[in-house]
Amino acid sequence: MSFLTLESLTKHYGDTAAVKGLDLSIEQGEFVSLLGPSGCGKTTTLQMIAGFVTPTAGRLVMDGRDMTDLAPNARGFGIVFQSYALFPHMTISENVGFGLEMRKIAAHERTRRIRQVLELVRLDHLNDRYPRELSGGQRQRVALARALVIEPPLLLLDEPLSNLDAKLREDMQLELRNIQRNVGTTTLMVTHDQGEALSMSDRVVVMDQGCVKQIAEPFRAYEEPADIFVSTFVGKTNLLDGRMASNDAGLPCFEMGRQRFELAGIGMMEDGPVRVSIRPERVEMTPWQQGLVDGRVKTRQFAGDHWLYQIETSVGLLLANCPNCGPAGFDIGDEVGVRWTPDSVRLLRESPTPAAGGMS
Amino acid sequence: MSEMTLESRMAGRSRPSVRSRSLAWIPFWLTGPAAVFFLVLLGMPLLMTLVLSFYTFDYTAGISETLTLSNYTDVLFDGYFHEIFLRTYEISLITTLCCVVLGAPEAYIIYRMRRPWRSICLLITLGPLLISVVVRTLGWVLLIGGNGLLSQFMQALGLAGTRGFSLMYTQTGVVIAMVHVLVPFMVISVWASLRKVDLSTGDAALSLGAKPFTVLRRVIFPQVLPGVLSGSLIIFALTASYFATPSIIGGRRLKVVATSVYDEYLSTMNWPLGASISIVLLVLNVVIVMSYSRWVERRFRRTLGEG
Repeated sequence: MSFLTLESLTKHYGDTAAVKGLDLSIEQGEFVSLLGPSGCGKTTTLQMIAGFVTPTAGRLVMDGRDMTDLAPNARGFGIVFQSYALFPHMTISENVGFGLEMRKIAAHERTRRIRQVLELVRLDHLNDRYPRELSGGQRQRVALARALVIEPPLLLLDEPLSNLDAKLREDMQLELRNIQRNVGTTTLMVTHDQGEALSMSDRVVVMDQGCVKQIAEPFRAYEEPADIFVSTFVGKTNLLDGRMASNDAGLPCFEMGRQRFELAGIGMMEDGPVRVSIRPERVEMTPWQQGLVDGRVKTRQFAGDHWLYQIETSVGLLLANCPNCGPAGFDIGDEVGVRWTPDSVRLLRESPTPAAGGMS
Repeated sequence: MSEMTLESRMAGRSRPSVRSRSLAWIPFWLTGPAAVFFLVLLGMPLLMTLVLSFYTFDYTAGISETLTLSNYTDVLFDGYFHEIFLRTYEISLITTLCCVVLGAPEAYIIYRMRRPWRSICLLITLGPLLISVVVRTLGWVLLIGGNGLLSQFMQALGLAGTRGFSLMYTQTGVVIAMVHVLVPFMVISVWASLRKVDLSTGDAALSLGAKPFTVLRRVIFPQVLPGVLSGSLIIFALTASYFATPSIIGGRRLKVVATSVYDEYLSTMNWPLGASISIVLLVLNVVIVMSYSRWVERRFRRTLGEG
């Protein structure tokens, strides 16, 4: 029996469905991310769990208790808002202590717990400041401390890091995850940043247009995307359209034009049109005519630790991500070969909904 | 941010070229006409009033240009004027408090309304500002006067005798009409504050276990307090020097400072005394407004910025 269960949670705004029958079970202590583009219903889902939005249908059960119709101030969940929503007229201590005060906890106990949680987020020296006087990262940690101090059974994070700059965001990802591990609070995070979702979560729920596309561990979601939407939204990928065929040995292979590519780990399938995905970091560049296909470097991007090449080949434009190992790499216009191992090729299901057809 | 301003300040300090020196005069040329306009049309009459307040007045000889302080000693030490000043500030204070109690919740309720209603209700609230104060006050005369609707209503309920019930020439009547005239200023002022409030702070308070009323009291109200305070300042200062409404509803029987200045000028023809009353009112208002806004500024500098 899982700790938190969402049972076909649904929200309609007039005729449009923001969330369509979402089912999800979360275990105690788990860190789960709702990942999806804006408008996919992830924030509405969070708001329904928090109690700010009433679901049109479905149930929310925590620890065997139906919470669907409970008022937000009776749920006791800790929430970190995208804007942090700190009380600007209160000091950091007062902000953090607000939830304890509402729970009528005695003053000396309050002081002790405020100090404890501010130490946890390493802000105990700033307890007399006002939110305005803190940096973005510090405000973020105050918001986290304020949500954690009430010892909530569930912590909800709404795009918690989206207002921070890139460097700080990476540090905070680590720190947030460490704090969550130490405290052990079950956490649900909403994010549109796939890197954030992959690096922080135990499981990722990929959503699109109000539907769940895949629920999996980050590694699985990346390596074995459930459909085309997931494969393009979680990480970059090369999508190739072709046909299933059998090679001379009778093994399944992928046929594209006159070329056939081996596949691995795939059982017999009917012949017919299929789409496959190959991650850019699995695409290896070789000298001319030494790979599976030949091509010409169209663009290249240097990103410090790796090069990103676009290569025009007979199977289409391929993206290749090559680690920067010292030498200067290929130039634009270079004629190169490209290869990949059979096990890098992922066969994709078509999305069950026709809506995902727009993605390619 | 601070680095930016520092940089721009450094840039400003670099050697001024001929071009930038001529550019430096542009602000003066741009503000010049308005400054001259105000000096002539506001500064001059004020200066003349100040001079006038030191002249001597005699019922037979009229105004003579001999300087005296007797006008001020009259205003400052005569119980008659004390009563008028006290009454004026009492009306101002009560009107301001009523505007806070009515206007602040009104602004919040309208602010949280859905799309079409929000603009409609705001328009209804601010619409009266487009109508002359005199017309609006005369409307109140019809309502609260001896044969007015209120009187008829009270008579129907048996709460008033056959002679009717009138709030004319009473402090209550003046306050009711003043509140009606000035409450839009409170709504505007609180509205401006609300626009700066992150309403998710209310959700945050809810999630921390606060009851809806506690959210309003502890989280939303303190954030719009600067708006409430600046609205109060506007209303207090306006009421203290308001003329039209007290003169129509208060009349001669319930004098306030503004109406007594008017009477000194136009009935008694004692211009110097009228001038000194208005100077005293001006000084008092300036002192109150300045010290109040300095207190407000100091109170909110750390929390809400230059709100």
